[in-house]
Amino acid sequence: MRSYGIYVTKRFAQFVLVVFIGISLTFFITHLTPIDPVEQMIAAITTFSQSEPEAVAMMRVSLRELYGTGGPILEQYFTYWRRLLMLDFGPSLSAFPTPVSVLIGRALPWTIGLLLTCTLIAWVLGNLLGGLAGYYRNSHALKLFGVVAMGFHPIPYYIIAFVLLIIFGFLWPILPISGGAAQNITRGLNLEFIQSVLRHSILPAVSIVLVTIGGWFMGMRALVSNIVTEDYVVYAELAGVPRRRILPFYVMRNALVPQVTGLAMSLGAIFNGAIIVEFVFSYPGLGRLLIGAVYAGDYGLVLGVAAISIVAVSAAVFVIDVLYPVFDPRMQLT
Amino acid sequence: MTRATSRPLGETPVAALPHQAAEADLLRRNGAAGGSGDAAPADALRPDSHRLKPSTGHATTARAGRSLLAERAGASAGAFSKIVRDLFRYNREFALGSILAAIVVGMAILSAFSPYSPINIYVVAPDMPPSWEHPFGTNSRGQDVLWQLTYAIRNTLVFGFAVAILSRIISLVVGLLAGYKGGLTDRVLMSINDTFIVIPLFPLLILFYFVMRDYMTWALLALVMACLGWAYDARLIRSLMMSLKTREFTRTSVFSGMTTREIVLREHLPYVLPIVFSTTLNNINWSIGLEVTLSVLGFTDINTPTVGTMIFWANQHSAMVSGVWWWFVFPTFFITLTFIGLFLLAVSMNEYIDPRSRLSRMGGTA
Repeated sequence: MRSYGIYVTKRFAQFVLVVFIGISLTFFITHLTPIDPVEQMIAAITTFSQSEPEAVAMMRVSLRELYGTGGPILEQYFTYWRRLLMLDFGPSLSAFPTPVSVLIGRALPWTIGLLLTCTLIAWVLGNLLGGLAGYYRNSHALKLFGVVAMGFHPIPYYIIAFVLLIIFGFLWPILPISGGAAQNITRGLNLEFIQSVLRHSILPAVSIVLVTIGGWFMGMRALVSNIVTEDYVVYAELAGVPRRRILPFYVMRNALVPQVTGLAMSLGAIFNGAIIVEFVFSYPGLGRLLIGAVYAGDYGLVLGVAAISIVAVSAAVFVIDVLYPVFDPRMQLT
Repeated sequence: MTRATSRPLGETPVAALPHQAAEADLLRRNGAAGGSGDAAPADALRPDSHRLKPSTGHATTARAGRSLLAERAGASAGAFSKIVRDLFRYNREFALGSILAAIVVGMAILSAFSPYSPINIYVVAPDMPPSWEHPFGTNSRGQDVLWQLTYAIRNTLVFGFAVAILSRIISLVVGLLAGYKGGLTDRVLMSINDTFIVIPLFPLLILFYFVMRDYMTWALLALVMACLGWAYDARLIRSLMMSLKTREFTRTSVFSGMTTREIVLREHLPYVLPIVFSTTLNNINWSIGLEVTLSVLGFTDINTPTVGTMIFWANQHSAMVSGVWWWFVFPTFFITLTFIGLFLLAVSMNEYIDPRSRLSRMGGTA
């Protein structure tokens, strides 16, 4: 068990490194580029109105204070970190005076719910079908599924979501195409609300699953079709172990390990996709918040969502890393 | 099994299943907007996997290595056309992929013959449905959709290539260095590498656009994306390098007095390049996908015609609602062809590089 402690410590160090580099990147992007957000903001506010020079100067001072862009760069950097650790991103300018952290807190459950469900569905289904396809190589249905999954896999989320939106929004309008739930029902744990949430999540969820499932399917199929030729599988077959036991317990069990790693590695990319899909279907998660914030010119909100996304995704990867020994029992034998 | 306590993110213990490790590297690329998990060049290092090179064995001295390289260069032109012919005949993915890619590239080349300039608006009657005169119709800005699309595809493809080539340079340097040097260099480089794999890049790109606004040019975006998109492939190249390093001919080269740089570039690079080539195709897909997404949202230079900005303008004019379907259907269709074409090419490349999957395709047991 001591070795597990060392392992977790190392993974935690990597998690801290990821957050450190990611957050520093957001700092450098916003503070070291030649464009000053404060000046941009002042230009935007004063373009269509008469302003006193003193008022502009005061505005500049308070915006600098708000964004922490005054003083030497190192000091700005520490201010940035201090505020971030206290989850203080200032007030949102587009939803003034609601704090950015409240807006993010409101959106986060939607994104986590959608992502968690879709990723699990796609991962489980893709691996299951991929395993079957690798083992029963002559099945026509599985071959067909492979071709379809391969066709969907390389297409970006936006295109898939957009096409689904056209089909189910305009050509055959049977599913709600925007929002997270109907507006006119009471929110809470009642059947009507849950049904509405589920119905609204179908199209975003299908978009994400369609794109991601192909990767798991093809990966698992490739792994399984290699493992099947291993000596121990041949031995099990010769020893009369029934085939329906061989596939899950002898073959897929081993192939699962790299697939879990794959899940950790591709979480960031899946998150990118979810942002787009949420925007296309106006799903009330982080994605819509982020893109809406860009359109509204809400600096604090954009920065806040970007920072929280980085922390959230790396935390999820850390959780998978910590659970990794469950899938790979060889790790516990030290 | 007593190893396994310390391993970088996602390393698979190489115990029971030797090829899982290499395979896992590929599976990491499973992701979404980006790399795609495909058939693995797991055993790309087996000598028989390289038909591109005459199997005369490995150079025993530095000098022999040099002459062999020259020989390879001469023979490769003929061998290459034969490989393409074989692939086209026996590999359905390759055939379909190259046909799709040829259609798309053909469209891009057509842009040279366009009668209209892509940035001018109101050069033809607006909102005309597809006809003989305007095969793909005209849009609400008075542009011919067909000719506009040829420019858009050209720019999109050039963008993809630019990002792919720039990021290949970074991933080659990092991968070769980490794989060959090992030790502390490897650990430091791979920690950074894993960071770039984990971080969700899209919010970062949006943040970047948000700060740069009007200064966001096409070239700047390509540069930024190249700096963000090298990590998956650097890891793949590193794992290849690590196994190349243990091969006999590396030791021979060291003993024959070659410098590290010479060994890596002359001896190892030829083995790495085929895989770099197939990752290039995947990387083009990744960067085009992100570019289209960013442009559709209006987060790039919207006045440069790319497939993404075409869809952006169609959305701006509510083409979907006003019934001008040809404005977004044709760009969407052609960009989908591009993705599938490039992806199939990459998959068939990988399969060709990996002897095991090639054998099982031929019906033998690998």
